Amino acid sequence: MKVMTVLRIVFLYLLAVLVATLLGSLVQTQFNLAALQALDVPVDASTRLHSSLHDLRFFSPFLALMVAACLLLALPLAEALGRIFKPWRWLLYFLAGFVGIWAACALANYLLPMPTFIAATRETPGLLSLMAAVGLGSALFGRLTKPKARRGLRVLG
Amino acid sequence: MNKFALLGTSLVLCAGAATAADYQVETLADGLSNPWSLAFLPDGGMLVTERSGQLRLIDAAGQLRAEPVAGVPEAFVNGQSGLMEVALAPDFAESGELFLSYSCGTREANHTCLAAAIFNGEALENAHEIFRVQPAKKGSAHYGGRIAFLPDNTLLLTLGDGFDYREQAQNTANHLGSIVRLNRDGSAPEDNPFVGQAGAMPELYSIGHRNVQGILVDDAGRVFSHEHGPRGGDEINLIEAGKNYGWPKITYGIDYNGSQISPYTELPGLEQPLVYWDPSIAPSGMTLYQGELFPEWQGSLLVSALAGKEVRRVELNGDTAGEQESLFTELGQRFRDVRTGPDGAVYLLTDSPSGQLLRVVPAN
Repeated sequence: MKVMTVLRIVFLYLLAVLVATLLGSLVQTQFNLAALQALDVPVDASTRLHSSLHDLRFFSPFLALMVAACLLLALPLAEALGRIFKPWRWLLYFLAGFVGIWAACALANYLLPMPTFIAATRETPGLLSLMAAVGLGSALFGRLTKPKARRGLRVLG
Repeated sequence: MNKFALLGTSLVLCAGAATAADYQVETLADGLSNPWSLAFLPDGGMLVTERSGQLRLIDAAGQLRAEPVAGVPEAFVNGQSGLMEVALAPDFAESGELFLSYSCGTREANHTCLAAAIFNGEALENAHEIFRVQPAKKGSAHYGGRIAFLPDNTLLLTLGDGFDYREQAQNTANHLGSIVRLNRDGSAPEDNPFVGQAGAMPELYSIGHRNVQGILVDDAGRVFSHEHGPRGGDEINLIEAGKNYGWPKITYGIDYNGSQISPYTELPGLEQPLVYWDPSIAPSGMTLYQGELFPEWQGSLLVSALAGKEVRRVELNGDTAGEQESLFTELGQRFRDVRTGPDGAVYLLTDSPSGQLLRVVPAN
């Protein structure tokens, strides 16, 4: 494999981690603010923006580590399965991140002292939203690394 | 072990600060399984709880009995759960009654529970559950578990939010994240502040707490408590009936993963702490020092700390907190409880599978 190809894959992997992390951080913030609003805590647009920025600054580094670890394992698996089930490549990549972050959260909850490491995942809607966020990141990687379709008349082989 | 034949005695000299005291630390007992709470018996003995579920007796001669006290209710032991506080009734000398807080149930459905029993000098008799936090929760974190008695002979039991249920600390329809006030039979006093509010639990005394593991009532009847906050949000509060202490609507801390818990540190109708600690020290027990041995510490709150590996002395100026001083840091121990003994010495429990009971006395 050429060096440029490897560098491109590394870049796209980091891009997928970045996108998944940013989306996941926003999910955490919005679910937390929704829980506070349910307690009649006022949350205006400025507060929402500041809270989102706070979590992007202080929470996303932790989430990025979890996303990076899960995608490192899940993306090669998605690629391998995608070569067998070609029409479902996009779905397989989405599921790689979707299931991968679920496994990462479960492992973190098992290993760390606190029952639930990421508060948004305490209930199903928040957990599914975080899983979807990371699924989108991994699906983006699948889309950007999709082999180009060969064009023209195939005479041999 | 005889307390006069100490396993170890260390002389610790504190210098520099005007409030510092010279003291020495004696080991009264060791090999205790995560000791959690300490009570002084009228005959000079002591009862010590171990989180793993045993109640241990140190007799008046200072001897740690090899066998645990029989008759203790079975506790659910996992994570932070297990046997927690032992508290003697104010009339213990006549009644022999004591109270035990512990977690009960299973990993999937457990509660903070409170039992009453009679201690006959050797064993517990008629130990029976008198209160159980509702509803059941999953997991094994944030039980609270400290007990204090009010002048009217009712008791306060501190509770936790169960960690994953933090919003429930604002819900008066359950006990999570509150301090409850109970009669000695476990029933709710009729003059409790939430009695008569539709849907509210009658046992509630104050709400909006995270995990309260220190409480005391001073001679004036003021109630001081402290609670574990998240990262940077440990607090000391002056508790008043019916007040809301804010968790998780307001907090000075953030979640362990760095995410925000609330954008607010104050909101109308929510009480402010006397003290908050950032970084957290993980406060685990508390005494108001009124002994004679350390005049420098008279009237100060002594707060044992787990993560901080210290006892934090907090001066009180009326209803406000003053200067603070870190004590016993040289021991490098996680402290689970701190008490003032009848002799004026400071007693400490260290948090470890092989924990110690320490006694602090003046160096001279």
